[in-house]
Amino acid sequence: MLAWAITAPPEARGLRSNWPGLAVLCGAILLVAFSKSLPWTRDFFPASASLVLAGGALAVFVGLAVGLSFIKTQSRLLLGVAALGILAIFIFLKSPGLSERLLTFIGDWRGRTLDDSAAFNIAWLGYSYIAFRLLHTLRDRQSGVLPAVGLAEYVNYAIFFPSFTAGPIDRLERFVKDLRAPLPLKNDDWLFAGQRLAAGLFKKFFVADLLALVSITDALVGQARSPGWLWLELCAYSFRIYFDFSGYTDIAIGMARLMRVRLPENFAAPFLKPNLAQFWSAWHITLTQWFRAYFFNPFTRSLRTSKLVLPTWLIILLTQVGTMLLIGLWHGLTWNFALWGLWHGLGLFLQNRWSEFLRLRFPDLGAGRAARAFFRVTGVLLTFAYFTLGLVFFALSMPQLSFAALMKLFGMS
Amino acid sequence: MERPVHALRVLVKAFLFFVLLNLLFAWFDPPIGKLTAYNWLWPGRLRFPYADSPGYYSLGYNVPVIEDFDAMFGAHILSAGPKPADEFRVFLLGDSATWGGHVAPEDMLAEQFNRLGLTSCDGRKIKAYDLGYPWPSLLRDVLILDYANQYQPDMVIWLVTLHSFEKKSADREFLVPHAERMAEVIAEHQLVLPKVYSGQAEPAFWDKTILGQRERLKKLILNQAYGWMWSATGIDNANGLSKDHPAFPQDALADVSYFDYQSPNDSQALTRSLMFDIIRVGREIAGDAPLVVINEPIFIISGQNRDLRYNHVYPRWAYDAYRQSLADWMNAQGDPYYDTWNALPVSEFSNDMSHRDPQGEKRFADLLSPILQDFSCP
Repeated sequence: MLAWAITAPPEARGLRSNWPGLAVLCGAILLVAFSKSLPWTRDFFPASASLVLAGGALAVFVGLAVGLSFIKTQSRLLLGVAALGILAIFIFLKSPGLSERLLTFIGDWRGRTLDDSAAFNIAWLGYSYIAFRLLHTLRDRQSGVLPAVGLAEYVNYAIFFPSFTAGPIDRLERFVKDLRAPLPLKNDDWLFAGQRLAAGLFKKFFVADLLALVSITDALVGQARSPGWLWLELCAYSFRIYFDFSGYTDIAIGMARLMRVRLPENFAAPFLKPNLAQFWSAWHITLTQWFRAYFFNPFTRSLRTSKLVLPTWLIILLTQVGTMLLIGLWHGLTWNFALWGLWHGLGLFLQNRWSEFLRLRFPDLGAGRAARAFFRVTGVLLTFAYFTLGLVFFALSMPQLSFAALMKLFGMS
Repeated sequence: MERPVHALRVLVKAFLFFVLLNLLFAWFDPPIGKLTAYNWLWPGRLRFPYADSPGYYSLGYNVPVIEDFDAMFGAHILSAGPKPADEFRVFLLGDSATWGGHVAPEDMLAEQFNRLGLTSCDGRKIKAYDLGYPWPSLLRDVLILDYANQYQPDMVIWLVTLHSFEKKSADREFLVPHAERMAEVIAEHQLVLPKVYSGQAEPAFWDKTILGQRERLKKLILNQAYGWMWSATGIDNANGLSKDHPAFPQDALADVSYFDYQSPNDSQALTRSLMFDIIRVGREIAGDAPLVVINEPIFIISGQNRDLRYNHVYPRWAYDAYRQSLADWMNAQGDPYYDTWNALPVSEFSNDMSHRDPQGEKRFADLLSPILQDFSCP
């Protein structure tokens, strides 16, 4: 509500047109708060904040939203503060140390020990995605390209049920188009949705969950009998996250289609891509597009136009590593995710330089059909191997474990 | 022109196909437990698949499939191939202490025997196979032996304790999926069972459908998937990951009751209730292979109330009465029986439920090895 109030232009903020959305939202919040005090609903809802707390928060939100609705124009400062606020929550939730401290603080405040307060769930389901949708609207409002939308449309976009927990990260202007003119739901659309749902359920709940049993874990680094087994477990993890995440995406796209909305695709056969750059254009597409639009492109532009003249290779290094580092940290503020981002940033940089080197020195390389096929197959295998090897940082919890796994994978321990 | 596909028709056809598949599955009852990747894609397990608290993700990379003996034996190394001509095959039957509840597979009793490198008088290698399964249930042991007979044992060692001979309604968990075969075994061997075992209903038609069998099917798939991890790690028991264990309390409560039996005055009632006759059935099923019964070692406390109880499970009067009556019964039957109840010090148990630690398993194997040697020389 706050993000909407900050980003919506004055003509979209009228109470007359937004009161139904406001009423439904307030009703939903109060219903959840009330549900805690009903004996027969206790098993269905998690322990939530008390009614007083919820009511108080609701009053603050409504007050702020109404107050903000009187602001005639959105200042850059306000948009910046809002973006920082969203990022601050993100940092708290994604940083194990900070969220534990917050948990302790809440526990103390509620007069409970840390163990008890763990039940007071601090995790915010789907916040990584919500945050990036909201940041997109704030940034586009700053650039003046955000369409004017009502409260109901904005909230529907931010917490759209099918893509709530695991994306894809849609864009507001595209989403609202479907919301205002819902897609037809004809025979072929039912078939499309059914196929995506069935494929998604199978990928997630059969293939991925089965692969999860044999995928690398912290414990397995020490337990695997040989490097060969560890490689297999790492490969299993690779396929597991693909089937898990793309399965969720299929389910989201199928469900959204039944709701007459077309969500963007998130995967395009990434394991068949012959280099890392193409891989990242086919893996978690909406996230990489987000970073490309809001970090990579502006950062590259600023480096190219800065007074300090930097060589091209350095600009590529800084932008690739910076982008991938942030993508890594988006998954969690830990050293391992940072190392994973660094791994991919350096990989993209090296691949860029290597391609450039080959293009300049051997312009005819891969000209023949057989040579093209050879380079393609080799590229696919190398890209898969590079991605999979990088998962020692993604799948394991600590750098020490990741380096131990690397040593073991190459028979050095 | 291509015929258009109608979504509703697809849905109806899918539903009808699913119903038909369920009915056919229930009708033909395919022995899917026989489908196994063990013993060809990954090595067979040294003991039956089992997990203490089976969840989807098991720290011991294991899941119980007791509902399906085909799957249980299919995962076991016993079913790897025909019996080698130079092998003297020994089966170990029993509960969690035999399965090796707190030890890694390489430390369990059967492997301790195998490590001794024993040979029979005719030069065959004595090879022990762990066919134990957690929770003491002699009826289940009999059914396991009945199935295992196809693998041609030369000798069967049956490790028992007082708890094994009690009638327990909890046995049903193991027995219901095998009700049909159990009824046949009971009839063939004229076994009379207490009332608690009556009314072992066979599974209904609905229970045989894919939907009705979904839990079993899930476990069968998990069992196969965990074969990969067994192969990769050699781990099959979360409780065996640590070789160390704490010292256990040596005190017991001043209470002499044993379940429904309150005092030494009930000793006759207790011994009358014990199901010794199942040993006879085991012996008959083992056929020519000698069946040796061992009263397994128990954890004996040395602290407070040690004069009343051996441990927190057994009061002295109940356990003494059981030992005496089992010895009398075995003597009357003329069957080989060895009582090793106090053979191990408390330090060699990994918990106070009489599970042995690796040292305990080794000492116990050393103790029993002359018996194996004796019975391998006719």
